[in-house]
Amino acid sequence: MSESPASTPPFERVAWPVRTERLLLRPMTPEDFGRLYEIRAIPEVTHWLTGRPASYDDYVARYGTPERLASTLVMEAGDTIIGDLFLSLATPYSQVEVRDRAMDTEAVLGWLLDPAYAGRGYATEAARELLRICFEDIGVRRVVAGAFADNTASQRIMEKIGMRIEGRAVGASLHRDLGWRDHVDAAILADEWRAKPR
Amino acid sequence: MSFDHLSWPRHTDRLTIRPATTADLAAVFAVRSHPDVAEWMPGRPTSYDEWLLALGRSGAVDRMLVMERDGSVIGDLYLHVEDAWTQAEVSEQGKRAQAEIGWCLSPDHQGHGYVTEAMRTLIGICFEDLGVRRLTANAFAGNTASLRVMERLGMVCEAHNRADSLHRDHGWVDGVTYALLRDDWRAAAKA
Repeated sequence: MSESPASTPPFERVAWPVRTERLLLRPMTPEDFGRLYEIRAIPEVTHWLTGRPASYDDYVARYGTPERLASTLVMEAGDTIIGDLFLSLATPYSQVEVRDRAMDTEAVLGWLLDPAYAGRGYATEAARELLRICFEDIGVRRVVAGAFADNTASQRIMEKIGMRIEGRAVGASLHRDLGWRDHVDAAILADEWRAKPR
Repeated sequence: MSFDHLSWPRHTDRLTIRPATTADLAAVFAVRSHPDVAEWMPGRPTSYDEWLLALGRSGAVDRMLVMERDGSVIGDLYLHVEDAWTQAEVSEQGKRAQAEIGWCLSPDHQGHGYVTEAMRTLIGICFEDLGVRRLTANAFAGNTASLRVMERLGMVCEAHNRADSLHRDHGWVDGVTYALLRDDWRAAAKA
């Protein structure tokens, strides 16, 4: 049986590295772990993130898995890694009779920036390019991203790149220091992305 | 999960609610295979045997309750207790902290408020017996009968997702999520 493009792992559908005006994006490799851990070891970086690695070994155990390597990109400015990006395919809800048509048609995005490089629009530039990669190279029909509602910096990026806040789940997410907090979800459809001037 | 550690059956004004047994499945199938019901349900079963097999494989019987009216099964209720999203360091506190609910009623018994009556009792069980702190229900945005039940139950529409759900006949359509917090439910009960 010939392999359809849709069954190719998403990163293999993209010609790396991808360059933007100021950044270079490429899949993460084990050689990047040291620098990426350095960024994740900064407490303000992990304030809103799922996990706060306790050590380098803990970081590698959690973020160095084959699944993570297949869904994490690094962003470089000049020759310096300044953050990482998350891109993973997901299957949205469908009735069972049409499940095969829904498989892997959605992408989930995330981003993380070394605070030393904040305030210059790098994360927005990278996230905007991620959307292009999702719709043009990978070919998904919808892209989503979620965040703690208090993480306004992340939501501003979602809105700047054209995503719509679609949902706010009240008291749905447990923060290690702040307790139960609201969660927001944003989305954009391929048709909306194509229709938008960029 | 199993509902074994709770006391059953529960009685409302007009209904009896209890976990489903294999003896109920023919009646549940009769409801689920009705075209008007299957329109919005995850599956449109056509063969009883295939439906039984799928049910067994997915373990869905363990999350199924039935509603009885005068000794007859008129529909089923769905209750799935799950872990809430948490940051990794506090995951223990999120265990079994939320639940998803759903329902399915025979078209012969619609328009009498039976689902609302049954769900009020099930919501009480979730919050007071199971220790759940947040409930959600999902539906196609076009399933207005279900949305009305959610609103009657005091649930709040928290998400309206554009073209995020694939329907077998209508293609990509909007989906909605409604939610109810234990604190809000208790405050409303006192008011």
